[in-house]
Amino acid sequence: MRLTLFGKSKAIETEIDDFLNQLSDAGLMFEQLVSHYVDHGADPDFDAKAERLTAQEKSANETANRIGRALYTEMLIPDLRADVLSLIQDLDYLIDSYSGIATAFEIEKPDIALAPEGTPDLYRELVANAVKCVEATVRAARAFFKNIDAVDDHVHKISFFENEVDELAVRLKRAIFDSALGLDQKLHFRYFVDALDELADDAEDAGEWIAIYTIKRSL
Amino acid sequence: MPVDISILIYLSSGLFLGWSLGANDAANVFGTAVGSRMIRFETAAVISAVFILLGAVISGAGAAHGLGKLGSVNALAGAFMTALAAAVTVYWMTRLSLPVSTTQAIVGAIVGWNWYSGSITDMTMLSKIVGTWIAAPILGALFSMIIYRITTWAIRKAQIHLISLDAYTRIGLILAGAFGAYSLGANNIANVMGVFVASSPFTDFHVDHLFTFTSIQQLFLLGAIAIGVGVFTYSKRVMMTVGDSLLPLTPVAAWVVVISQAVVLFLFASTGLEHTLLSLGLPTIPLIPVSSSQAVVGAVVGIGLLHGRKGAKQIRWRVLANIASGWASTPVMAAAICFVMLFVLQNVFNQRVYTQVYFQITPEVTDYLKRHGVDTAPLADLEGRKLTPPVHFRELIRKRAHYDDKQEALILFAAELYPMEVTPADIAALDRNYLSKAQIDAVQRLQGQGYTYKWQLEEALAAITDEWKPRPATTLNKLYNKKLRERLDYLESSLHVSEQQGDEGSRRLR
Repeated sequence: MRLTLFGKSKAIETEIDDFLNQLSDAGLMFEQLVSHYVDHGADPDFDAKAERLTAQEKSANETANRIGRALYTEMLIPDLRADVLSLIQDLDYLIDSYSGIATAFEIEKPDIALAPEGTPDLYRELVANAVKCVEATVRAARAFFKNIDAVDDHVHKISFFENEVDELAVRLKRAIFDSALGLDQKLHFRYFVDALDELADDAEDAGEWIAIYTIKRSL
Repeated sequence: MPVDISILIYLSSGLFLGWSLGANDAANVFGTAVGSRMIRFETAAVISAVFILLGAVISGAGAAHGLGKLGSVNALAGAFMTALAAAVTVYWMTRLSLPVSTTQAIVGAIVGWNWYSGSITDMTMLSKIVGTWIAAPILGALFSMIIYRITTWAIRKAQIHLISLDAYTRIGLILAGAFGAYSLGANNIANVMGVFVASSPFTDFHVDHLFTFTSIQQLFLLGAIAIGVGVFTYSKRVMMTVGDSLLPLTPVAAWVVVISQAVVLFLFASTGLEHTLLSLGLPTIPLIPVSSSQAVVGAVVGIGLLHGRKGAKQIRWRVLANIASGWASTPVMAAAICFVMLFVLQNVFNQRVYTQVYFQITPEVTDYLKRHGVDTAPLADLEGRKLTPPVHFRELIRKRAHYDDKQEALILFAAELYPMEVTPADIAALDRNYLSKAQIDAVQRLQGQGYTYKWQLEEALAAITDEWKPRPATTLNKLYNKKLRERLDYLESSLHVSEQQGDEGSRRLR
């Protein structure tokens, strides 16, 4: 019984580590993909990158499902399993968001050539900060599992990057709406800014929950 | 063997006491594990029940000849009511979700019986209880703080994954709980069932030549089942008080609490440890009266206090105040219930709830006391008078001279009339697994003899073999002398001839 119990725990741990790696990788893929779109538009390379990201999302979803099943069928600690499952679901939502934004680029193909001056670089910065925000959330999650004292540091960084994203989003939207573009174009560009703003918000929410789970575990 | 129906009725209060004990004391073992949701209540109940059963039947029955605390109650109807009073008290405290000490309820009920029967209450026993209320929580808190600090430091160092950590903690809680339940069964079954050993309605049965299931083991199994049923049916509320209401605990803290409680009991209440340390020439830890119910609560509070003001705020002080008032009211309530119910039992149901104990100072007693350095001159006018009850006799002694506690106890022991006869039937009935061959042989050599006082038999036995002779009263010999005393008590109660003829129940009871 002992061996099986520890065996199962180890298996769940490995799955959780895999899942967090997948989320981290998805962030890097996403950053590359958007950067490529801004530079080259929707060329075949972009399509290949988008496909890889979709595959990563699917694989991460499957891992999350397996973790959920294992938590409920093989682990008996109700408090922890509920918290871990919520955390995994929150993080899974972030991967879905990466993939969703990439698909929107692929389908809607916003015309970068029309973008007001300076906004492509600002947008790249926005993406980098949003991905850093998610990455800090991943680190907070890892710390929650292995080094609970470090969670606070990471949660603090999540807030920092989320603020950066907020500021950049405001600057971008001002630049877009101050330009001579038609309203349809303005709204279209705004959508891609809002999507990243939301991604960072979601990462921050996940971070706040991690902080709460941590408090629950540290007294 | 025909079963006397009254024995079954009397037995029922022992079973009720067992049930109450299970319902309340299982929280000491599994309260934090269940309260922190690390172990399901059902799982905890199954483990507790199984290990209590094993502890009671394997270890408990081995020491069964010590009749437990109720052994001092010398009539079966009295023992019935004393057990019932303790059981009702613990049941009531359990209803209020308060963890209390069943032993303290029993001691309280015995005080009620002493009060009613005019027997002497050992005041050190009462001061020990009060001491426990203070010492056990403080030690529990202190140890939980230290162990928690060490444990969390080690966990941080090892960077164990949370999932693995919970798996280890869970195993730790199950193991600690199983050991705790085993010792709970072993230590308490005598209190629950010990007094009924002599009137056990069961007979030994043998499975081929493989093993014998003794009547005591069967009786203890029954008692253990009662404890197990108590755990299953009613222990959850006290568990939730200990493991959740007082302070919500993390799994690691839950484990620390159980371990701290066990360590406190092991270090400060184990005569075995004291003996081992002394044998190895090491300094001993002073024995302090501690009880697991009180140590557990202290340990939980300790974890809270360790987290400074934030932790102290998390402790529900109202719950703690309720628990503390439960501790104080348990023995008082048990004593009061016992006293009132004994009155009812004796006067309404016409049951004999105690056997009169008589004292008589004879020239032999005077001689014995002189040999032990007691000045007997002030007692001269009491010589020849048959006196009862014990408190009255003590009063007469105190009026005549100021003896110290030891001397007073010696006079009471020396003058107590306790007629014994060494008959072949009694010798045949002695437990050969409990007494050594030399001890049995010594008893055999006294066959046909009669004794009026316990010390007469004891001196006669000691003259035959060293195995019946107490060793000098040093700390190293404490455990040996205690075990010898238990064997002497067992032998004396086996050879006792009651003054009331035909009363089988009191014949066997001390």
